[in-house]
Amino acid sequence: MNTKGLALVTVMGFILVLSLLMVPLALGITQLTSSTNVVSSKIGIGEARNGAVELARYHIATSSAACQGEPISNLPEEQLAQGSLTPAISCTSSIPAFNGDAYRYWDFYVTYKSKNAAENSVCFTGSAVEYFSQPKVGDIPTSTVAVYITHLEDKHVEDEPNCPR
Amino acid sequence: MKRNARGFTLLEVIIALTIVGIIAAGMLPALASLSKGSLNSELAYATPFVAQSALNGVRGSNVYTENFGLAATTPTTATSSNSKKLSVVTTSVMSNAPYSLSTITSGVGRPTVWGYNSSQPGGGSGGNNPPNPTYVPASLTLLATPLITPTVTATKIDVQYVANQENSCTNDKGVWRNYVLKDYDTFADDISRTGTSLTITSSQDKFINTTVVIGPMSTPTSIHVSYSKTSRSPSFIDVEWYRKEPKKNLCELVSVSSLGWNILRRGETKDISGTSSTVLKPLTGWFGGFKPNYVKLVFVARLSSTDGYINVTIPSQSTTTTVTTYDPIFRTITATPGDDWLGWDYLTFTVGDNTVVTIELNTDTSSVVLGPYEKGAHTITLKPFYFPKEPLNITLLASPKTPTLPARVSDVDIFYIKVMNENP
Repeated sequence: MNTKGLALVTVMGFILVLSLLMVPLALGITQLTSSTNVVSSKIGIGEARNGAVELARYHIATSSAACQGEPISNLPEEQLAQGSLTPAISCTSSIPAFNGDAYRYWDFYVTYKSKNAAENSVCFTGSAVEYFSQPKVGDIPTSTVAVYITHLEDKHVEDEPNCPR
Repeated sequence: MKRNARGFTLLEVIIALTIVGIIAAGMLPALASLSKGSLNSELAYATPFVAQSALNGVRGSNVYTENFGLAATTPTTATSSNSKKLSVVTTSVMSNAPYSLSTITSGVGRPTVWGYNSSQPGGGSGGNNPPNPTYVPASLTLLATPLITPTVTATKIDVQYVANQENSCTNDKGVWRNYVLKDYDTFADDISRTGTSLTITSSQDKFINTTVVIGPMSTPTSIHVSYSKTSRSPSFIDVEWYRKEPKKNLCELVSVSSLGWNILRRGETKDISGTSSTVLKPLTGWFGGFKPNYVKLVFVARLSSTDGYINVTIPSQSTTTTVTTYDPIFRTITATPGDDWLGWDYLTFTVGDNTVVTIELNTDTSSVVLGPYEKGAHTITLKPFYFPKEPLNITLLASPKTPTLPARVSDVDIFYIKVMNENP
């Protein structure tokens, strides 16, 4: 009986078993590596979302246009390291007080285009309430205006017609 | 039976372990990548905080900067935002990986977050809700004194004697100050009256017996009598004085014993023969509680045929009466909004008796007229007018309903809305 052949098969089987045991470990390591790359992308879009909120707040607070319900889409684009933000705001209604408004209700749409071509454009859209602790008379002090973001969601640019293209 | 069971040779085991080691070595690059990716993830996570620290001027740990070259660029103001404080901060990992991240912060419109443990201005209860505006009165009273000062106008009214033929001693209408000339039976050709003058004329040389009643008169008044010279005697005037009590429709002849020259008692006569005029002085004094106020003159004379006349005249007299009238008057109060002004709230005022008030509210760019308002306390809401932040002029025009009584407006208060929740 050729016992050497049997030993070789046994060793080969042993090696195969050890290799199979390493496959989950290898896959785990690969996935961990991949996820760390995704983290950068997620932080980029997360910070872009925060920037979109601030950008909307800025344009709402500084808007001097009458509240007519029409989107204001001629706002400048802001360049970020991770992409660009193009805002549009729309005053939907207001509550007057004296010679100005006490509250204004806004919708905003900020399109984020990542520099990574593999990432799709995202439209950050939401609602905001602009609160005047003093009615607007001429150049108001900036401290008397507060913009509360009441809602925020991510949408596909194609799904929301008011999002800047 | 040959024993066939034996273990692996040392060589076999070494070969197997070597093969396993070679296979395992293939995962080393993946492990290295995992380590590098892990560091990148940590740095990526750290970049927003580094950016925020740079924005806020907070100097935190230098670990990321010194060990991994994680640095934030100087906060830059976006070209589109000019002076309105839209800041863009870009944080880059300089040495480890080509990774950069930008953060945007708006310098305007950021709500003030009121801490639960902090007390907010304006007496709010804390928490994260925006403080509510607090309305406070601007001033207690702007004007509490009578607004309208009476204007006294002295007007002279001349009281003219009115001659008519309606009043007689027995038909008094109570017009006490008026004099009445009334001719009774006459044989003259004509009797005409002009004002307070009565003229008896005769174109024939005949004897006349004409009676004239004058009264009532409250003021002693001389009666002037002139006539064409009479040559024939007897020519005389018979004067009789009467008095009439206002509440009694009764004329009583005044009997006096001695009235002096030109003042004739009852039945006495004054001989006017050879004269052309005389003055009958008034009968003064009180008789039975009343002054004689009617006089009856009986002319008995023969006038010439061509120009005979008798003129009886009551001299024109006038008295001056002072009448106080109150003219409409307006007054303007100016209220100037202060720094804490939010809006005009309401206006209160009190209108007195005999007063009608119209109010005009105006600023430099708007104007409203309200009213009229009559007696009582009034409150006008100013909110609907949306007056801008300009001095508010309140002009009150007060008119007396009856000109002889004053108009009055008082307690004019204006209230405005004040915000107490300004950011500290």
